[in-house]
Amino acid sequence: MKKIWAICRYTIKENIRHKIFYVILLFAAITVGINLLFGFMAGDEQIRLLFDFGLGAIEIFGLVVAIFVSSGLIIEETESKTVYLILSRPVKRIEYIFGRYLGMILTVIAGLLIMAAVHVSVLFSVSWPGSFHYVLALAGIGMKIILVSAIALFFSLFSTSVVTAVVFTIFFWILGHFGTELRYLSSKISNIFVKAVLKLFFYIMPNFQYANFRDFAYAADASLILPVAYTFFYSLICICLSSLLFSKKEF
Amino acid sequence: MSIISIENLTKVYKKKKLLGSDKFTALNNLSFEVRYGEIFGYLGPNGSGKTTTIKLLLGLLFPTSGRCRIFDVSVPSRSVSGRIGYISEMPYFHKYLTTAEILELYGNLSSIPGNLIEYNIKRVLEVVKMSRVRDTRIGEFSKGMLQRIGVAQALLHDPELLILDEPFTGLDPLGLKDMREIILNQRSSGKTVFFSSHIISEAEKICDRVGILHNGRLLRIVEIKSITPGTLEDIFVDTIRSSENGGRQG
Repeated sequence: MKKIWAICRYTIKENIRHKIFYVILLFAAITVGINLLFGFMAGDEQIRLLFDFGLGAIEIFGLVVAIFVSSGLIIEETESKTVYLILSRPVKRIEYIFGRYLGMILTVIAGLLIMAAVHVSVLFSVSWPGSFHYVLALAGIGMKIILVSAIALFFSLFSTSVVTAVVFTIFFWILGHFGTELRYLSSKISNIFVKAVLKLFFYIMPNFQYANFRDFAYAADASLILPVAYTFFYSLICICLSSLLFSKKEF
Repeated sequence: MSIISIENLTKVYKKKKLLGSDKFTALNNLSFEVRYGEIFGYLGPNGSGKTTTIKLLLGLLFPTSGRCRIFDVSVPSRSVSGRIGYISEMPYFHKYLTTAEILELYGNLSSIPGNLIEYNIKRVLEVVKMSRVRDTRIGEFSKGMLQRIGVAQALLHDPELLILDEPFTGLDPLGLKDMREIILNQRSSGKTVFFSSHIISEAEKICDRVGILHNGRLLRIVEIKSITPGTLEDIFVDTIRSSENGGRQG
C-alpha cells in the first residue's frame, strides 16, 4: 500500500505541475460569462439554464481532461523512460498501475470539486435555493470519470500513441450512452450474426446511463447502489486487465 | 562464489510488421558470472547488447531463452530488486519533481523505512556533492548533475550490488574522477559493481575483470591484473577485429 501511495502522490504532483487545472479557469470564465449573457432572463429560467449548462460543462471538461490524462498516463512514462527506475525497484507492476490510476482519479476529482464550487457560487449569486439533485448529478459525473479513465488506461496499453487510445475511448464513451438502443436494435434484427454482435457490444460496452443523474426524473427515485457497484466492478476489471497487459510489457 | 550468473541467455527482438515480423538477435547464448565484491566492466561497441543484458537482469526485458540469477535467485524477483542499485544509460527522471521529492519517491519504492528516508537522502546527497540543490527541480539540472542524482538514487537504499549502464558517458574530467571514486568506495565497503561502458581507459583503471561483448556474444573475459597496464584498449580492439574477421571468413 505504501508503494501505491508513493506512486499516487507523484502522479498528483505531476498533474498539478503540468497545469491541468488551467481548465478550471476556462470553466470559471465560461460559467460567469453565461451568467452575464443570460442575466436578462426571468429568475427561474436563468437558474435552470445556468444549472443545466454548468453541469454539462463540468461533465465535458472533466471527461476531456480524464480521457487525455489517462491515455498518456503510461505511454508518456514509457516514452520518457522514467518508468525504468521505478520498475527496476521492488515494485509490482500492478502496484504501479493502481498508483498511477489512483493519482490521476484524485486529481481529476479535485478539479471536478473546484469546478462545482465555482458553479454553485454562481448559482447562489442568482438566488438558487440549493438542491440534493445537484450532489447526485455531481456524483454521477464523478462515476463516469472513474469509469472512462479506466477504459482509457486499458486502451493506452494496447496502442503505441496517445491519440489512438483517446479515439478508442471516445468511441466507447459515445456507444456507452446508447446501451438501451443497442439492446432494442438486437431484439428487432433477425440476422443471427448481427444480432449476436449487437448483443456482444451491449454487454461489453460500459453503460454510462447508470450514472446519468442529471436527468431529474430519474434521479428522484435513483438508488446509488447499482451505479456505484457497476462503476467499481467495471473499473476494477479494466484496471486488472491493464495490469495483465502491463505485466507482459517490455521496456 | 558468483553474485550474478548468466546461463545461455538469448534475446531476440521481434518487430511486428503487417505480414510476419523482423527478428534481431541482440544476445546469443550468453554465459558468464560476476563474483562477489568485484568490479566487473562489461565492454563492447555500440549495439553489442550491453544494455539488453542489463535490462534482462533488472526484469525490464524477458529472455527468449536461458536464465539470469542474482544472489542465486532467478530474476525478475522483487526480493532481488531491493538489493540492487541501478543507474540507467541516460538519467531519466521526472523533471517536475525536486531532488528531495524524487529521492523520497525512490526511497519509498525501495522499501526503506519511513523514518530512515530523510537520513538516507541527506547521506547520498553528500556523497554525490548535491546537498545544495535538494529543493531544486530536476528539470533545471545539467547532464552531469543528473548523472550525480542518478548515483544518489542508486545508493539510496545501500544496495549490495550496483548495476550501472554507461556511468561515465557525458561526464567532465571532475565528474569522471568522482564517479571512479564512488565505484571504488563501493568495492572497499564490500559491494559488487557491474557496469557497462565503451570507455576502455576508465574500465582498466578500476575493474578487477572485464568482459568483451560483440554482436551479442561474449568474446573474452580479461583479468586486469594479468595484463600489462595500458594494453586493455589494444586487447579490446584486437578481440573485436578478430571476431569480425572470423565472422567474414566463416
